[in-house]
Amino acid sequence: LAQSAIYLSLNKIMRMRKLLLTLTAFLFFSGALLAQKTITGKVTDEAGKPIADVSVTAKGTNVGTVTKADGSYSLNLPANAKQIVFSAVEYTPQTVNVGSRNVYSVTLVGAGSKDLGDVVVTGIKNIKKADFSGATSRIAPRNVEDRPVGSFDQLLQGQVPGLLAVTGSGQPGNPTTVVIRGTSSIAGGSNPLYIVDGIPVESGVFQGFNPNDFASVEILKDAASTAIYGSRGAAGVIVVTTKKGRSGKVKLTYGAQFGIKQRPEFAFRPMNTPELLKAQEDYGKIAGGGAVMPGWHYSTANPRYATLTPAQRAAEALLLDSIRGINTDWKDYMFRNGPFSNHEITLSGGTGKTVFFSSLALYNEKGTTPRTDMKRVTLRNNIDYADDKLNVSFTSSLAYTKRNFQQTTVTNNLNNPFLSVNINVPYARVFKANGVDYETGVGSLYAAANQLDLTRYDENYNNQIKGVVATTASYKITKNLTAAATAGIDFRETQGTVYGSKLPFARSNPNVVAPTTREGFLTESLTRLLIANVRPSINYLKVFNERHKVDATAFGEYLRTHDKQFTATGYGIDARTPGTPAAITQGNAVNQLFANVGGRKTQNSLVSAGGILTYSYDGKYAITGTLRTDYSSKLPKEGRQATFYSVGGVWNMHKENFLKSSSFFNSLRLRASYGGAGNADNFPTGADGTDNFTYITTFVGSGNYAGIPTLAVSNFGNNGLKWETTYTLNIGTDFSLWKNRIYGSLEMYDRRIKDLFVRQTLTAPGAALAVTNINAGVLQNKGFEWDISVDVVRKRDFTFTLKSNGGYNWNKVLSLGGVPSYLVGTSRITEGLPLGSHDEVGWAGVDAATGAPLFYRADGTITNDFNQAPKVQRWGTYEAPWKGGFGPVLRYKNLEFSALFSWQSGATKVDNLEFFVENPVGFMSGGYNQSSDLNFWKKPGDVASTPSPLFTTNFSSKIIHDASFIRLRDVQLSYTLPNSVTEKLKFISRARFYVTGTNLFIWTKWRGMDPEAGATNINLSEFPNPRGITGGIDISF
Amino acid sequence: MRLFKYIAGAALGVAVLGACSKQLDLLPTDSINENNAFLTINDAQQGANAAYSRYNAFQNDIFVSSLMSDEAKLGVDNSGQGAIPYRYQLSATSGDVNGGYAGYYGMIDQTNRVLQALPNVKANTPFEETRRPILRGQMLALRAIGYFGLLQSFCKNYDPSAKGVPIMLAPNPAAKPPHNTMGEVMSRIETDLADAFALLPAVTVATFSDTVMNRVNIDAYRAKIALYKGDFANAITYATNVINSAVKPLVTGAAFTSIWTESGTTIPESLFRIRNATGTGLGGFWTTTTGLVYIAPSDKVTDIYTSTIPGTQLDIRRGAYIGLLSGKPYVKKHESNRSPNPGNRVVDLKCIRMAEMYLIRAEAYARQSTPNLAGGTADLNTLRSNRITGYTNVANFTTASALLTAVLEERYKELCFEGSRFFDLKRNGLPVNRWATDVTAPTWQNLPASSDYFVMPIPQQEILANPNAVQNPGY
Repeated sequence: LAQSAIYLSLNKIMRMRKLLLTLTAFLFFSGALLAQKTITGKVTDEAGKPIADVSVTAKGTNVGTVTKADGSYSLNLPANAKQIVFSAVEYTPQTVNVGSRNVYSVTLVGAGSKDLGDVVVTGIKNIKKADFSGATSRIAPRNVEDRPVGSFDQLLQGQVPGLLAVTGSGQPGNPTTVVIRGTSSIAGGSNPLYIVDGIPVESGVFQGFNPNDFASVEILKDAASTAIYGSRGAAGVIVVTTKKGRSGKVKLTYGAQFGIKQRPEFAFRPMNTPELLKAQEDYGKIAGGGAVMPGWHYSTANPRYATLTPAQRAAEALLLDSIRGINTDWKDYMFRNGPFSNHEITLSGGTGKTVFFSSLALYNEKGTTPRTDMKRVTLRNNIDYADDKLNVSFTSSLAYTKRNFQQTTVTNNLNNPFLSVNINVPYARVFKANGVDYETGVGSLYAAANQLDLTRYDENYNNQIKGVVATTASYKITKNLTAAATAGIDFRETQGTVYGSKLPFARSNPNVVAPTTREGFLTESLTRLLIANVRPSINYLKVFNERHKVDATAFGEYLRTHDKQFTATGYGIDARTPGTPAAITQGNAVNQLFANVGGRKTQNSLVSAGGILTYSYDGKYAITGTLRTDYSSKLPKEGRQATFYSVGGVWNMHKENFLKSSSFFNSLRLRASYGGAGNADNFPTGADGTDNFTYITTFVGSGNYAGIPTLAVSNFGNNGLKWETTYTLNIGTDFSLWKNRIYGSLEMYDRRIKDLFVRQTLTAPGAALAVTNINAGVLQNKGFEWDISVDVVRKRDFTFTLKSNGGYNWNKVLSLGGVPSYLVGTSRITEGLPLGSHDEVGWAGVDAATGAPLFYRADGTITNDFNQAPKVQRWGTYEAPWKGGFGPVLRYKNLEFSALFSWQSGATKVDNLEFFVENPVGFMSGGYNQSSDLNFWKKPGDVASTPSPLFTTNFSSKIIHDASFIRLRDVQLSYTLPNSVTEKLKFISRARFYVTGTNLFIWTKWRGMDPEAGATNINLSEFPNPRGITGGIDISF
Repeated sequence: MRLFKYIAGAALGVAVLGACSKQLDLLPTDSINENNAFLTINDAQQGANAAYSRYNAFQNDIFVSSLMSDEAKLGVDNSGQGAIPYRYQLSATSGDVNGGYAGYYGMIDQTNRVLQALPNVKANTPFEETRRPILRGQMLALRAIGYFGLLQSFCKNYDPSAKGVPIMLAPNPAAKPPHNTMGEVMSRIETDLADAFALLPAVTVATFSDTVMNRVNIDAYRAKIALYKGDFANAITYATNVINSAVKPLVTGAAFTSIWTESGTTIPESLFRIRNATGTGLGGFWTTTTGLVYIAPSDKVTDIYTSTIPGTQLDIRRGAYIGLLSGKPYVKKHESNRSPNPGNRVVDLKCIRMAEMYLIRAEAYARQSTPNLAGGTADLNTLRSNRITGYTNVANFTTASALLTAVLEERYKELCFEGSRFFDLKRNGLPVNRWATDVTAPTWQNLPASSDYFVMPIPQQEILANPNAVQNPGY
């Protein structure tokens, strides 16, 4: 079937080529056609604001133009022209009959949620919003364009009701964790399905996309909208459509952006030298301590002081003075200001039937810590052809990205600059006396310099080539019947290099470092991922008796993913030829520098068939049914097939007589839907590190028994595994009130995930208490969402709109199917509680009398014995139930201002950094720095937050904190040159200048570097999200 | 209608898709799976190697015996290691003493997988073909001693009709089996051992290996199991077979010490052992390489080597088993002194030794309906003369009970920290009586013979995972 579909589309492409040739020949003569008359006019939006770049074409001909910056146009209309079509991205096209007039000015209605005539782009099929019963949100291109962000999913935060977007790292180009309407799996994942121009692309790898190429980003949330994706839609679908050219004069644009990225401010301030020396002395007075705490070691209060001779005392006083004289602020070395730039050239245009859009962009961002950056080149070419019968759309993008990384930014390791900066002592020197080499050495005093030393010599980078190519062709067989096919490929090749030089001090100590590491090492890895997709479809559309509309589509889909990885590590790298595989020393019996080689190869496939049937009556009511059958290679034969369905209904109430005359309700629509979807792209990970073969029992033949090889089961699969299915009930309304001044939508939903994968312990006789995945348990996500905009002022020269969106999602494990509650990371999966509920011992403060830490017993009484305090789940969940965004959009003449505040509330997170920087026993006594907030118990009666140095610190609820925040995520001020100016500048048709601020401010109780950074449950001193200020210019020629 | 033609076409498409199973029947290329794991005799051999390595479940029996009997006490550096079972506060979740349940079943599952595969694996040479029955015999024997380990720890003293453990004869990860009776399990053990014996070739002193199952160590286990079962005639027969085989005879002096230090190329007296190249699970149970003593020899066992032997005689076992670490007595038996890292606690697991054959036969002589006091005394004298410098044979015991008492004390001396003492007391219906100096509270000084704690708890995970599992009384 797949082959025949490819053949079908190839056949069409061949035919299209012929057409194109004819077309090109035709174009040469078209100029010769005599124009009947010249029409002019102006295109504005509802607020009266002129719209530039509106395509104005004479219908049925290939004559067209685009509007200028002031919305005006002029077109030579051929004699045979009967109608003029005005169309622009983000607006509903409008058709005007040609009469005797010569001036045709129109007002286009925006395609935001305000507009009810819009279409919903589902990626498989575009459906008129009036007929669509699903819950979706759309992000307009102006909200993703010209933002200094390397991965477009980072821009989703605060823009989509019900979508949680948390960026775990400030590394340039890092993806975001996106969760739509709550976590939908325990053992599996909750990544949404991403569709670009009709084809699925890998989730979590977006550094190769240029968001400026996006024409729209549509988020599908409920069953009615995701059921067409069947087994893959359960976690929501994000559909990206890229820009198309517009018929008319070829347009060249240039855009440039420059700016800077900075580290964010945060509450923990490491102690400076006087503070730390004082704290060390206070500590020593209670618990003693060694030379690693000079503040105590050389203190006159130290009992050893009495044993010293006067000469020794004088020498030590001098020593302490010299230590006092060093006050290094490690922030100055671990952070930097990262320059940012982006350049882009686009070329677009076309004639009546063929349009194209090309863009070439150069992105360059340096991270806020040394050695981190991202450089990207993207090239996009989109070509569209349309005639009465045939429609062909070809989209392609090719990207090359290079990203440099630190040694590590996600671990509790001193090589991580974001831990290092907080816990290294300020009285350590950065450089040796020569001012060039870092002051490296053994022990905590040198840890920060050792980090910088590694940063100087080592390398860690990857190069990625990503290509996404999609072709959709549709052919109108009869008036009502259209056959179509989409085929596409998402291809990625990532080449990674990790180079460990032999030069850094940390690798030179033969007592600590393995010989292979000491000689320098180089790891080269190559990952290749290919997702190929073919989807033939057939559509029947007919309106009976002018009122009954039937729209039926049947489609099939075949999807295949190939994943291959190869890794090789060699040793013995000559420092004169750093970072190249050529420098690897061949291993032999003497040098023992044997190279390690490994990798993986895996694949999966999906075969589906489905149909969508919509019936609508008079534009008032519509019902839609969807049916889709999927077969996945990821499941055993018996359970691999599943059928998913959805039903939905829409009632366009404003078309009813009782509302038609209402001056308050401009439009009102009610929607309801119910249906199911699967989670095929988010299966639990199996033994091979992918989710492709989780169900299969696998063996390991590389084990050994005292040196001889063994062969035994490594992973117990489950031949009874089947689909995890999400059933969603969604009720929603779209409205526009009071002269379209208040508009938006509201949603309510209840999602139940059934046959949930849970980790089941197998019996001892069966599998020695090994753990496998079974389908048991039910998970619920229920909540509501709002997306409301208010046009406060709507004057010709001044508009002011306030936007707010948000959602509340309550997640709850309804059942675990008999499997007992179990731990996952810092949380415990328990029936009746949300996922991510922290499981920890309750902290009851510090005993003022003794300085002992206090904890809660099971019965609520207080004890100072940690072992008597059980772990409980009273500390909330790390997945924020409340989240959203809001902000104003103001326009005065050519000046526009917009701001977006994003927020989340109700999440708690473990602050691992606090465990380090408010832990004198564990860290200060070992020669590390502490937070200036440290307040440990010193004498009876002290009200302290940290126990006396006589007591060790345990993990407890003390370090679980509210991770709520409000962020000024995005603010932009732009100015477009007035038409009067651009007309004088002959080459320039439009010029826009802007300033953008990213993450400028954050309001949060969180004291660590970034409430978003790190894994969702715990913060391990990860790369904080930077703030950025950039200025840019867009010029159209 | 044309529409229906297309709908019919689409329906056909669905049918075709369903048939596209070739595109969907994907198997992992990176990992071996059930379809291709065992293809050749060599694969089966590797499976068998894994089964052997899993018999390290037996080390749990050593832990149980030490923590529950009177041979050990909590060391001065103990910060909770094994303390709960030592204090007889054990429960189904405490873990220290019931790891063998999953451990032995993990081994049994592995033997079953090899046994299931063996008839179909390909032999490339006639020699390989000869390996097929041998591997089968080895796996049957291993499976049998695995079941014996389960019976010993997780069931009461042998009673054919009492609750046993579930019998698994084929791999089935989804199994939720109910338990069989002890008689059924015993009968399976005996059948497997008999079948294994028949399949395996005869063994000579030259061909004997203590790292695989063979006719000699099968007889050794048969002797041990017969004694456990109360079948004294067979215990005597099998023990005699092993002793007469002359493989691994009793040794004394430096050769005896080398059993524990592993300084020689072979391990004297060892009839079956599990090799260990890297792990410190057994060696590190008692002490650490940094000199911490977690589980120390009890004062009672430390004293026993001198209490009954008059002064001039020297029992070489005391020095071999118990040492001093910075002035702290410690269990030296599993320390290992093998090069290149002496004292690193990487040590082979000695599962059964020749000395035990003499003790089994002596106990069987004492307990059989017509005691053979001369035979029993002779066995004791043989063993003691190898262990005690300047030993002179004692005269024949005059009563069976005196002989039995002497045999049990000898077992205590000979086999302490080898997974025997607790089960010796259990088998003979005797209580655990610790010395007051070995405990910090009188509540865990003694364990009455009637205590439920002589039977280990089924792990709580098993109870939760298997609705047919029945917890042992008292937990």
